[in-house]
Amino acid sequence: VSRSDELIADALRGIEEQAVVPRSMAAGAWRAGRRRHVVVRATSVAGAAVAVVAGAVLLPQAAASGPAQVPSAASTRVPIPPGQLRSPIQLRQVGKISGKPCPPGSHGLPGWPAPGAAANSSECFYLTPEGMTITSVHFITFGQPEPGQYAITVDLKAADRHRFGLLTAKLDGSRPPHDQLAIILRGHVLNAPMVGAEIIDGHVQIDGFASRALAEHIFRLLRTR
Amino acid sequence: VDERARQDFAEFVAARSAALIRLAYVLTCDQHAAEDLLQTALTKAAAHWGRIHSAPEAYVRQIMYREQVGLWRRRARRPETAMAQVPDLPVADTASSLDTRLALQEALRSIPAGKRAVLVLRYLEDLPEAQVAQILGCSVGTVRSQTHKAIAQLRSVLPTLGLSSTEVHQ
Repeated sequence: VSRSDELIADALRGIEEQAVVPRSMAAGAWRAGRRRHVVVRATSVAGAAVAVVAGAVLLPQAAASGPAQVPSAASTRVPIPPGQLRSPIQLRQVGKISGKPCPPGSHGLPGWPAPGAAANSSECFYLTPEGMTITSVHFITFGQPEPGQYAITVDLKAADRHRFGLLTAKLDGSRPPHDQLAIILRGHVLNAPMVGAEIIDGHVQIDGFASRALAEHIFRLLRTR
Repeated sequence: VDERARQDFAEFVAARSAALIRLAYVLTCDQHAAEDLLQTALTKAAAHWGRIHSAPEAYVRQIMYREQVGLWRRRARRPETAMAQVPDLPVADTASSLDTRLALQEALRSIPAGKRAVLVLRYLEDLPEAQVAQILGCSVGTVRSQTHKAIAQLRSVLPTLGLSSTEVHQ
């Protein structure tokens, strides 16, 4: 080690010694991190939870309208025939998220409308071409994994499972916000979870809904034709 | 399960906050920016706690390095601001080792955050170039060139340090 190396290291140590240790950041970081964590999750083949997780786009309350076909049991498996998704689910890599509404003529997509608001969201998502569209699935499950939490689990078909594995592998480890996967339904970004792992089993769980009404609304959009 | 994970996380933060804020500070050279950087890294660590809880510190440190280099890259894309005068830079006064140390600290504060991150990894953490490249997510060539440029910048401010480009690659 040369003298100049020692001088630089010594000067850097002098700088870091000037830091003031802040009050505990644990509680705030945990809340923020877990809020992002729970929105999208995949279950491994072995059944253990695999973290994959979520940019917290706030989900609005939605009126529970339309035919009431949501199961009342805590978790009920509802088979959806191939090709019968009422609304295709688009998954696209996020390129940029703007905190302003999408300007007219822009190629960005708005977030899901806020509760009681008009159609426009206050966020605009600009997406990369990377992604896929899901038109049919093996099953969709509506459930309540924990009290007060509602989840929709999508069980992908084999071909989509492989593509989804490749897509999540690509996003995992990408620089923010390119590690976020926009879930698009009817031209709106329902959520934009941050992908924290490659998902190979094709079970994608969407949760973090603000209310049961909203979870049911989304479930109906997906399953009812 | 989540409550146990929350406790583990809180214990980790309590035990390692002092060390982590020092790293954040030397990367940003600003207390508020350091706290923001650490908060961002801890939030990401919380999101992935199930996967990283066995070795969280390396993960948090890597996030801070990458965040800082990413910020520097984003700023680097912006056009430079024309200035009427060259901003003042500290001039070396080698009358004593303390003066040299303080002058060098000022010089380190004045160089871009990305280059400073490379120097922190190379000289403070004493890591080889390959490992620095792995942590920053760039090539060894980039690490080498950034180190070289940073040293050259320090040398221009403190010529009496006697730094040479050959020392960079030792």
